[in-house]
This record gives sequence, structure tokens and C-alpha cells, in this order.
Amino acid sequence: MKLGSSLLVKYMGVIALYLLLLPLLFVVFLLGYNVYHYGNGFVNWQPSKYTLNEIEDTWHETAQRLTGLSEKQKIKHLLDMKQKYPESTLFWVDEHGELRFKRPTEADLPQKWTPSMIVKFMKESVWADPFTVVALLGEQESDGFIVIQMPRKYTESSGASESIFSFWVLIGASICLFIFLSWLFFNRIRRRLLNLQNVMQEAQNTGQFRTVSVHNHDEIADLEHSFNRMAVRLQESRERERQEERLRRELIANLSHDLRTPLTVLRGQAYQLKQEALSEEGQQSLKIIDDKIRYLGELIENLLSFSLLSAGKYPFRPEKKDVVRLLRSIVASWYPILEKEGFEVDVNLPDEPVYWEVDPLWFQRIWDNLFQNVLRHAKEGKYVGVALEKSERGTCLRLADRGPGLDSPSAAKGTGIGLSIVSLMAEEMGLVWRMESGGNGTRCFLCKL
Amino acid sequence: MKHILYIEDDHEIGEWVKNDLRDRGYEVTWLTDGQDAHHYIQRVDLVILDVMLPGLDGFTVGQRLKEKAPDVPILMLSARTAIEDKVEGLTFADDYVTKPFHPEELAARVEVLLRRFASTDVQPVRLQHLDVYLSQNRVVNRETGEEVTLTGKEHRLLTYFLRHPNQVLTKEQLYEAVWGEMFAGGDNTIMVHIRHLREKLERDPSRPTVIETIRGLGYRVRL
Repeated sequence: MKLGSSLLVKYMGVIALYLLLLPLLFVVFLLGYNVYHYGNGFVNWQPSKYTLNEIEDTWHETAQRLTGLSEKQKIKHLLDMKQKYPESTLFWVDEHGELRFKRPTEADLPQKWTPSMIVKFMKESVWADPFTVVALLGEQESDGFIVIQMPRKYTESSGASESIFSFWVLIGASICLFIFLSWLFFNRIRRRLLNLQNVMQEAQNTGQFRTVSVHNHDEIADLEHSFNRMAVRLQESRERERQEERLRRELIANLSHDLRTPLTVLRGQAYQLKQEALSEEGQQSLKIIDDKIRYLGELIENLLSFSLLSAGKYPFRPEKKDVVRLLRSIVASWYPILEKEGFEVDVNLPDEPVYWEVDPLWFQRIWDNLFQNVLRHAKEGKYVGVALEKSERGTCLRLADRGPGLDSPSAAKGTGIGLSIVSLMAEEMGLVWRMESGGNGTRCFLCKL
Repeated sequence: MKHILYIEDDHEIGEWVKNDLRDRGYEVTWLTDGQDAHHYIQRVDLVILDVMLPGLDGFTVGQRLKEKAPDVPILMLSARTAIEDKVEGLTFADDYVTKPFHPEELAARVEVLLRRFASTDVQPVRLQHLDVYLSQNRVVNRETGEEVTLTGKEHRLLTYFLRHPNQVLTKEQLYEAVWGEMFAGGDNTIMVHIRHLREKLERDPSRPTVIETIRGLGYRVRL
């Protein structure tokens, strides 16, 4: 990234632009203001009628001229001054503090002036309206003094307050301009950040990463570029994962097919042999072959399922189901086989439904595996009991047999994978799976706490 | 003679299944792929279909056949993992057998399927001392020669038993199949109807042999 495209530099640019614009704004304002006023031809605005200096100078000049003149002459001069400044108030106080002349005559002034009054008057007149000039007559201050008071409105140009108001408007406008420029700047940044956030949110919801289009070259553009790279990489890895999952499933399906097809052929051949005339031992051998084929079939199914299950790729579709009903129909489907093997099937399930959140296929798989185990390892007991047990800790479905138990030598072989599947599936469905085994049988519990 | 269309690409398996089914009295047409299966579908009573076929896979073939002839039952044979095939296959297949299957198991499933779909069958089903004419709503007691009169529900119940012979059927299954409604727990409608049916069919209703009670599970009719 070039320094020039940094957001920081850009914002500095905004400030610089503002600072540059500010004087320009003033010039434009003043020009515009004057053009406006001159254009309107002094209707609203007038320059001051008198200036303060002019009045002050004239008054001190007058004082000098009056010095030494007779009273009559003094009054004549003062009347002239009154004519010159008709809006003013003029008065003359002589050396005795006597008010000798005042114009306009109705002006409210004390007749007798003491020195303290003079001092007070002068104090009050400083910076006050009207503008007051006190001039002494003569050098020795003994000749008294003359005063002119001029309302300040005649010494100031009208419309001055208006121009001060305009000045504040100008300041306000320039602040607004600054805020507006900053707002433009940050709003654009904000919009781009929000856009990024939206895309991320979308990815979270849909699992699809979309890239964003990048137009600038600043820090946010860098961020957008990084985001796009990440999105592409995530999308790729997700794709790869999907592909791997597909390959894995395909591999397992093919493996299953490749293993089972020869087994099927084997079974067919064994079956054909069975039609031949065979000795007792020959028939017995065939029965064992047939048994082992079935066992291998189950083992293949379990192995491949376990592989999918432990990789988390086994399809899982949980729903709220009446498990008593499910279990009853599973036992019903096993009944003919159990009956053929001479089992007593003792079913003790209630009529009332019990709802659990399970995947029906998984649930069936759990019980299929358990029944397979019973058939393989607990044939001697000739008993299988299925019941529902309720306790304060929860509800349990129980499968009991009267076989030799898990510790017997025959049980050690081949139960592992089937039970591993049971335990993985139970855990995944939030059920508690437990087994108790002893010399008089095995009890399996599948519980919802 | 019932005609079975059998689609299987493995020659060894195909050969013996074909021979075994022929020995059991079926006419069998064996194809090694599903391309031309639709030419045969109108002439057959049942299809046995392998899932893994060269070209079109078994699911696609099965779906096409089912669209063309919905009343011909399809039995899927699979050598893949049972779980995924079950989810996908059972949407159109009527039954499902996993390899390595036992020939007797296959034969039994074929027989059940044929019976379930044979609505125009005029041959009576022999059920102990009874002859049941499914399509005519008729039951004859061979020992007495009398005709047994069944109500509509009783007949449907018996029909359902005979379409699912040798299977243990739970109360829920029976209720939902015959009444077409969700079974509400604790309902003893099934018990009442079974009792009436036994009174009409059994030699000794107090010791039933036609409709067995399987304690804790349901009922069964064996053929």
C-alpha cells in the first residue's frame, strides 16, 4: 500500500482541505456580503455620520477657540457647533461650576457642578453611550469646560450588529462544513465495514463464503483482500472436506460391496452343497460355514458403520419418537429368529408412549446389535427379556439374557465392535448406555436421564 | 406361474439365485443391467433389483420401474452398507435384503411380497382349516363347508395378516393399517376385533391357533 492511499493520510487531506477552504470561505463571504450591500445601494446600511476622532478634534479645537472670548461670543460659537452637530447635547460649565449654556434646552443637567460631580460624570462617560468629549477652556482649567455628548448610533455605521451576526453564521457554517466532510469520509468507511460484516454473517448462516469486490487501495481494501483470500481458502477447504466425505462414503460402499459379493457367492455355493447327499459331519460343517458367513456379514456392516460413525459421517436424523413402540416392533422383527433358536421372549413394555429424541434407524441399529450379541453369546440361557424401568433418575429400556455373561471366554470374541457402535450411538443421541454382566446373564440398559 | 424379473450384474450370484428361484417354481428373467428393464416390467409380477449395477444404478432403475408400474413390487438386494441404502432405497422399494442373504430368506420375502401385491388372485389362501378368498371377501371353513361371514374391519384385519404372514404384528401396526389413523395408546379396539375374529375362525376360540398372541408384542398368523 502506498502511503498516499492510507486512510490516515486521506483524513489528513480532509483536514487540510478544510483549512484551505476556510479562508477562501471568508473571502467569498466578505465579497458576497459587500456586493450584496453595495448592490442594494445604502438602503439598509450607512457608514457612520460622524467619526469619534472628528468629534473629539473639533471639540478640542472649539475649546481653544473659545478661550478668552466673551460670554456672548462663546455662546455664539456653541450655537454654531449645535448647528453642526444637531443630534448632540452641548453644555458649558464656567469656572464656578455654574451651568451657563445647554442645548437642547430641555436636557436634564444639574445647574451647579461640584468637582466631585465632575469626576463622577467623567467616570461614567468613559466607553458609555452617548459618546462624550469634555474639553477644558483655557490653559489653567479655570475657565470651566465644555461638553459634547453624541449618541453613538451617529458614530457607528448602521448594520454593524447584523454583520456580527453574519460572522457567527459564518463560523457555524464552517464547523458544519468540517463535520460534513468528516461524516462523508467516515460514512464511506463505515459502509464498507458493514458490507464485510454482512458477508461474514451470510457465510455463518449459509456456510457459503462470498468474496467482496474491492475498489480502493487503503487499509480497508487490504482487509477486504485478506477477507477474500480467507473466503476462497475456506470455500476450498470446505469443498475438499465434502469431496473427502464423498470419497470416504464411496470407498466404504465399494469396500462393502467387494466384501459381501464373494460372501454371497460362498453362501450360494454352500447352499447348493446342502442339496447334495452329505454325511452328518458334512451337514454340520455346512451349518458352521453358513453361521460364519452370517457373522462375517454382520462384522462387515459393523466395521464399516463404525468407520463412518467415528468419523462423524454417519447420517443422523433425530426426531421425537415413541421408543416403546419402536422397540416393540424391533423385538417383533427379531421374534421369529429368537423363537427358532428356542428363546423365551419376555416382553414387558407399557401401553403408554414414551417419547425420546432419537434417530429411528440408529435406535434400531442399537437393538439389532444387542440382539445379535444375545443370539451369538447367550444361546444357552434361552431367555431374552425386554422391559421398561422407571426410576427417579430416569427411564431405562432393559434387555436381559441368561447367558454365561461377558466374562466368559466365548463372549470375548467379536462383541467389541458391535457394542462400540451401541455406545457411540447412544452417546450421540444423548442417552446413557450401561451394561451389567455376571454368571447368570447380562443386562443392558439404555436410559434417558 | 409367477414371473420374476431379476437384475444382477454378478454372474455367480445371478446364476444360483436364478436357478434357486426356478427350482421354487418361478419363471425368472435375469438381466445383467437395468437398461432394458422397462421392456419387461408389464409382464412380470415382481422385480428383484441389485443396488450396484453398471451404468444406471439400482436406485434409478427402481424409481423408473416404480413410476411405470406402481403395482409391481420391487425387492432391493444390496451389498453396500445397509444404512444409507435403507434411507435411499426404501422410498420406492417394497422390501430390502442385504447380502450375503440366505436363499431361503430371499424366497420367503419374495413369497410375502407376491402375496401382498396379489389382489386379483382367485386361488384361495389355505389357512389351517380355512380357505380364504382374499379378492372375494370370502372365507370358507373346509371342515364344515360353511361360509364364515366377516365384517368389513374383520376382513381387512385378516387380509392384513395374510399379506404379512409369519410376521409378528404389533397393535399399532394393525390399527394404523386397518383403521388408517394414528394409534392412540391404551386403545383396546384391536383386542375386541381380534376376539370377534377368533370367535368366527378358530376351532376353539379359548385356545387360538389361527391368530397367535405373542405376549407383549402383538399377533401373528402363520402360513
